[in-house]
Amino acid sequence: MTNEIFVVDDDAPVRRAVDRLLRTAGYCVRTFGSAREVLAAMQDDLPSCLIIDVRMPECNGLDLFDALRRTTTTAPVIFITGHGDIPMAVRAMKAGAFDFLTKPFDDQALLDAVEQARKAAR
Amino acid sequence: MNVDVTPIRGSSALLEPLHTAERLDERLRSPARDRVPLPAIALGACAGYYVASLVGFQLRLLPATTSVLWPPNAALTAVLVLVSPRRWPLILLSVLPVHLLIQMHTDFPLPMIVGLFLTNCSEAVIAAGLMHYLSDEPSQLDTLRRLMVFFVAAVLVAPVLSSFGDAAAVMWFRGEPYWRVWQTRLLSNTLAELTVVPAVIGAVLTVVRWRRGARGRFIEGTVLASGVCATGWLAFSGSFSGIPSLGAMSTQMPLALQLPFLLWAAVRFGPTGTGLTVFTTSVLSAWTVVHGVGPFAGVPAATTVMALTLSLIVVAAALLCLATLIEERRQTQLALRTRLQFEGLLSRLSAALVQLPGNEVIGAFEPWLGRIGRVLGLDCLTVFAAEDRSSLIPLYVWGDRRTGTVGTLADHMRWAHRSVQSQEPVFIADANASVENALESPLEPPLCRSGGAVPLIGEGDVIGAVAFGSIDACQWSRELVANTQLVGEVLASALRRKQSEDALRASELMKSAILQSLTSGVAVLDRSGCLLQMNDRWKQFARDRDWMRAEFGSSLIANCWMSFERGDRLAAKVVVAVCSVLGGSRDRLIVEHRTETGTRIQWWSLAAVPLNRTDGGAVITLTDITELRRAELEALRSRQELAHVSRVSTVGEMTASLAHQLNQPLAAIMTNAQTGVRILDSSCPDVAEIRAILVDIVNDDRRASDVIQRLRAFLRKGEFEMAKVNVVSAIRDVVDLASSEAIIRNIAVSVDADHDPLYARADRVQLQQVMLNLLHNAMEALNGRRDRARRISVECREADAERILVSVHDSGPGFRAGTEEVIFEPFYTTKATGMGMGLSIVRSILDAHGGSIRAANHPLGGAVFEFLLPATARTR
Repeated sequence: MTNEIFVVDDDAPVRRAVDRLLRTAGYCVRTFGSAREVLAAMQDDLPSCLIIDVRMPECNGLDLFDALRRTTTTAPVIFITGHGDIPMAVRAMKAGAFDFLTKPFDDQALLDAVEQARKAAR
Repeated sequence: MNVDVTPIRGSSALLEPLHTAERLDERLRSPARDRVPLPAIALGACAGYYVASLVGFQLRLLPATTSVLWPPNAALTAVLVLVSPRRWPLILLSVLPVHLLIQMHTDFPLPMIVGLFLTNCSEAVIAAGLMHYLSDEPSQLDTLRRLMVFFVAAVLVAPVLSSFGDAAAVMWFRGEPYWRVWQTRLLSNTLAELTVVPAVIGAVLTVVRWRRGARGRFIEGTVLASGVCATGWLAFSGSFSGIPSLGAMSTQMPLALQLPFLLWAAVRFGPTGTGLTVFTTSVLSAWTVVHGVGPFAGVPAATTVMALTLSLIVVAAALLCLATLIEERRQTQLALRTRLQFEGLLSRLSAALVQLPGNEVIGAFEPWLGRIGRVLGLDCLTVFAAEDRSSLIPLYVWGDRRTGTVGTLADHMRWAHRSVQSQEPVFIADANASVENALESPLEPPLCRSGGAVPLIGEGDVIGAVAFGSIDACQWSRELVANTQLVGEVLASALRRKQSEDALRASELMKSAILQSLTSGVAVLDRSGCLLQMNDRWKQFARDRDWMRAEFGSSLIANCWMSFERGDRLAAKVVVAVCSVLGGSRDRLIVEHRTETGTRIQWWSLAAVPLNRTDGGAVITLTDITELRRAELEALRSRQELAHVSRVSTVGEMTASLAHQLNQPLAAIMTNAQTGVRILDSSCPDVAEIRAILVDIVNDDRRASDVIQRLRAFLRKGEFEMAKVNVVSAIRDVVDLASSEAIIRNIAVSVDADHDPLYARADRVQLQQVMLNLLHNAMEALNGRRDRARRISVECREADAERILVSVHDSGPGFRAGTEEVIFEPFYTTKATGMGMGLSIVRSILDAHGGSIRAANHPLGGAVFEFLLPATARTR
C-alpha cells in the first residue's frame, strides 16, 4: 500500500479543493474525473484510501465501489455525497464502505475520516 | 285535361267530372234529356203521341186510311231526338199501348194496327238515329249544317223509307193503291216532320231552360200565336171573302195572309217558332180541306191536299232555312259581342294587374273579375293561392255571398282538388245529374250545380287555382272552357308576379332586418366608393367619427380623405383598405385600432371585403372587439399563469438535482476556505496557493450564482415578451439546468446544433419552458430502462430559410400507436402522478409563437419530438 489517496469526482472545482486540502495535510493525492480513469490507474498503483463522489455521470460512485470490490484492492473507501444522495451512501456503507461525508463537509472531518481509514486498512 | 273520378263526401255515388274535350262533347250531345226522369219522358211521349194521333185522325180524307197530316211520328221523332238512344226502347214500348188504344177505335185489323205502329216507330227511329249519328247536336237546329242533317234524316230519308212499309200494310189490309198511299203518307209525314220536330224540340228546351225575366218574349209569343191562329182560321175558313181585296187573296193565296206571321215567327222565334206557326197553319188548312170549308171547298180535295201540302213543305223548308240563318247570325253576333266584351275585360284586367304593384294585385280583382264572371254567364268565381304545396287558400271571392267559397280548395271543392294538383283543369256540367242526392253534390250544395277549376301554373308548380261556379247546370262549351283558361293564364301571370314581388319584399325585409340586427356597423359601397346602404349601428358609430359620416350616394372615400387631412390617421387606413378591396388587389383587409375616451379604452376592427355582385363594390364593417380583446388578454394571462405554475412544478420536481448543482460549488468553496485557513495557520504560508484558493472560491461562487440566476430567470413571472433569441444558447442553458437531474437519472444528454447562434423571435423563458418540459418528459420516458443506453439527443438546425427545427430524441420505449396526437391534449398522462398539462402547455406556447410541434416514434427506436419556430430574417 502506498501513501497515496485517490479522489474521484466529476466536478473539477470540488476535486481541486479536496486535492488541495489533503496535500496541505501532507497526503499524496491523485485526482480522477470519472470511474473509468481511476480503474485504469489502479492497474499500476493501489492507493491507501479512496474518496469517491457518489453522483457521477455514466458510472456513479456505487457502481465504482462494486467494481473495486471485484478487484484485489482492499483500500478503504470514503464517499462524499450531496444531501439527496444519503440513501445511496447508506447502501454503500452496508456494502462495506468505510465512511461517508455530506457536502459541504468540514475539513477536519474529512482528514479524520481519511486517517481512520488508513489505520483501519493497516 | 284529365279524366278524374272522385268519391264524393263518402257517398258511394261517383261523380263523373267533365274534363277532356272528348268527354265535353259527349256531354253536350246528351243534354237535358238525361236529366229528366224516364217516366216523365215516357208520359210526355205518350201524351204527345196521343194528342198528335187525335189531330191526325181529324185530318183523314175518308175513306182513305192515310191522313193528310200525320204528326204522331214526328212527335215521337222529337222525343227520341231529345233523349239518349239507350232510352229509346222503353219510350217506344210505352207508346205502344197508346197507339193500340187510339187505333182500336178505328175499323183497322189488329195486325195492321201493329204494322202501322212498327212503321211509325221505324220512321222515328230512322230520323232520330240519323240525326244523332250525323249531327253534333241533334236537338239544336241553329246552324245550317244541323238543319241540313235534319232535312236529310227526318224530312227526307225517314218518311221515304217508312212509307214503303206503311203503304204495304195499308194495301194488304185495306186494298188501297200502294203508290197513292205511299205518296200521301210521304207528303203528310214530311210536312209533319218539318213542322212538329222543330216545334216540339224548341218547346221542350224552352220549358226546361225557362228563366224569369222572359215575360216580354212570352207576351210576344202569345200575340204571334193568336195572330197565326186568328188569321189562319179566317183565311182558310173563307171569312175574308166579304172583304174585296182580302177575299181575293184568301181565295187564291190563303198562305199569303199567313206569311207576315210566319216571317215574324221565323225572324223572332227561330226554327221553333217557325215549326209551331207552320204546323198551326198546316193543321188549319188541312182541316178546311178535309172538311170542305173555305176557299178550297170547290176544288177536289185530293188535288188540293197535294198542292197545299207541297206548298206548305216548301214554305216550311224556306222559313226554317231563313230562321236558322237568322238564328245562326244572331248567335254569331252574340258570341262575338260576348267575346269582345270578355276580351276587353280581360285586357283591362291584364293591364290593371301589370300596372299595379304586387301588393295591390288583389285590389285589381274587384272591379274586373266579377264583370268577367258575368260575361261568362257564371255566378261565382274564386281565386285561390297556394299556401304550401298541398293547400290552396282563397285569395279573392266574387259572387253571391251564398255561393262564395271559403276555406281551402280541398275543403270545398274536393272534386277539383286532385285535378288541380295534377295541373289539369276540371269542369262539371251538372252535379245533380250525376249524384242522385243533391246534398251529396260537391259543388257547394245546393247552391251551385255546375262548376269548374283551372290550375294556375308558375314555373312548373301549382301556385293557385281559379274556380268557377254556376247556380244552374252549365254546358261548358269549348269556348267557355277556353275563356276560363285564358282568365287562369292572366291570373297565373299576376300571381306569379305577386309571389315574386312578395318574395323579393320578404327578402328585402329579411336583409334589412339582418343588417339592422348586426352589432357591427355595416356600410355597403358601390365600385366608386359611394355609400349604398348602412345600418343603424353604423350611423351610431358615425357620431364619434367624421370619416364614417357620409350620406347615401356620397363618397365614403372622399369623406375619409377629408378626415385624414384633418389629422385622422385611421381614415387614411380606411381609404387604403377600401381602395385595395375595390381595386381587387386584396380580397380582405382588416384594420384594428384602439380608442381612448377618458379612462375607457376600446378596440375596434374595421374589415373591408368585396361585395359579391357583378357590379362590384365593397362591404365595410366596424366592430367593437373590446370584449374579444379583453378575453384574449385574459386567456393570455391565464396561459402565462399556467405556464408559470408548470415551470414551478417542473423545477419543484428537480429540487434534488438543483440542490446538487448548488451543493457542488458550496462544497468546493467551503473546502477551499478551510484549506486556506490551514495554510495561513502554518508557519510559512504559501501566498501563491492562497491566491489560487481565492480565485477558485470566486469562480465557485459565480458558478452557484449562475445556477440561481438561471433558476430565477426561469421562474420569473413576467409578461409575454417576444424578442430575438438565440435558440441554441437558450437550449444549452436548459440542458445545463437539467444536467444534475440527468446525472441522477444516469442519462446522457447531448446537444447538437448545425449553427450557433440560430435566432428566432420568441419569448426566451417560454422557449426554455418548452425545452425543459420536453427534456423532463424524455427523462420520465427513460425511467426503468436499463436494457439499453439511456440517452437524450437534442438537435437544433435550420429547417428552411424561415423556420428553425428543434428535435428531442430519447432512447425510451416510444409512443403507443395512435397516441401521437392525444398526448398534446390537456390532462392526458400515462404517469401515475402527472397532471398531463406539460405537453399541452408546450403546444399552446408554440402556437402562440406561430410555431408547431409533432411527436413520432423514431425509426431507430424511442420517441422524437420536433418543433418548428419562425426564424428571424437573419437566423445566424
